Amino acid sequence: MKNLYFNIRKSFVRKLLGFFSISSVLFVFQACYGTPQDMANDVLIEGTVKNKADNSPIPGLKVDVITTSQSTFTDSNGTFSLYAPYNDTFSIKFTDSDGSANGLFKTLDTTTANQTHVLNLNVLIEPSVK
Amino acid sequence: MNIVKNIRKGLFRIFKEEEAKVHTLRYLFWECTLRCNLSCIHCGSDCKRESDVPDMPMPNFLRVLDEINSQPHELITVVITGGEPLMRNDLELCGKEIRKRGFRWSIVTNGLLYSQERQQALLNAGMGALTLSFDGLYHTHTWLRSHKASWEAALHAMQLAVRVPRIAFDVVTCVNKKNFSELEAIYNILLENGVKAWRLFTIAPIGRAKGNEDLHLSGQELHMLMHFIADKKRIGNMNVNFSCEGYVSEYEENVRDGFFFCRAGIHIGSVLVNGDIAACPNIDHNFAQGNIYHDHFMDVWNNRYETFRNRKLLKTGICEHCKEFSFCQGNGMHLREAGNPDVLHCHHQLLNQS
Repeated sequence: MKNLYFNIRKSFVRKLLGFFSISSVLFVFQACYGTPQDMANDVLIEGTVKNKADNSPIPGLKVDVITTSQSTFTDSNGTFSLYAPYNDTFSIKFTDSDGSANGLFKTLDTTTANQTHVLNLNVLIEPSVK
Repeated sequence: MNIVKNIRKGLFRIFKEEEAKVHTLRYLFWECTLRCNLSCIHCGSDCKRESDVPDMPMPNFLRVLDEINSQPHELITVVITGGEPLMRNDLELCGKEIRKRGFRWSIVTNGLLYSQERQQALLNAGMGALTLSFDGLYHTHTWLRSHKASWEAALHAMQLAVRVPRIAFDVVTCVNKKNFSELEAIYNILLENGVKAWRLFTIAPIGRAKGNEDLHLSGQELHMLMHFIADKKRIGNMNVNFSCEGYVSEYEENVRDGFFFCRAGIHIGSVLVNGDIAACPNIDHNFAQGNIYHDHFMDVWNNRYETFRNRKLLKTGICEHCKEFSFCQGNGMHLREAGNPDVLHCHHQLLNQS
């Protein structure tokens, strides 16, 4: 208890000292040979894409996060993951970009609400008859 | 006005002492490789090392992060450096694993391998910040970097990075005698390309830069550099700063967003390619505090780094009787050598000599 009080008081004193020295680089800084500090929020968007007909994973499918202009491809297990800047909703498009190599599939457009830092998507896509 | 500034400087000095006592890790360098696709004549890395020093395997570094996981680490930035980090083909994989553990990560690059595809992959892996070296107009940049394609590659990388709001991006320039007259032209290039932040260094007399007189500014040139930065800060078109490499006496606060504070070993740690646990990677390796293959990182961070946290130990040599020592605290730690009582380069002295 005494330690907790001591730590709170110490933290307060540090902030007070920093405040009165009116320095804008108290806790956000960069080392002389380093980079700026990243303070932004992001979301891990991950999931699996499967064939609606037989539930098998679909590799090589293009996953476009329209909201942030980012994209990636599903791996051999049909899984994908990427980090994107935080948003309340994400428009994501799944496109068969490799022709018939892994089967033909319809394009799927989705819009998903998001309130967390991990967005997990399990997507089923219909085969294309063409 | 000076009285107010001095009071604030005094308060900031106490603040620094308190921060040294608490020493919360906020910034961790990972020297992931010593391989580099350039051979810069000012490189501060230990040039005595063979270039075939193996890269640190990713699991070895991730083990260090797992040791740090016991404390809050959401705001710790892992700065991946080298060598040239883009030389590693598994960089994106490393980055994603770092981000998955809750750490933020960034890279320092010369831009030669930076492309639209690589940027996309780095972003997908959670990269949040990027620093790019851009050292002058074509001839001076390629002279310093010893590579004809380096200037266009750096410019291209800059143009890619500025388009992505997700990346906290800045450009760094190592100011030397050859590019000194080009500062205004560099500023205009950066401005035209939409760069928001520019950091200027002088070149430390360490590594390959030791003894190369073309690289080091005179006192008068350093004064002019301080005026250049202060003017650009006043104009406010871009966030221009002098790096935190050293104490610049009367220019403090006019050339940076705050007073000088070398945070090496106080907020900044590093893991070097051979496993050494250090402060910043460009600091004399004899100041290494442990090694990840023998020590628990947090044990080292919590209990060692005495020279870094008690800067009074550096009040030796030319610093011993210096009136500015309480504010400067022996200048940047990368300008100290173990066993040498003198600082290798004193900005304050250089400014006062001219």
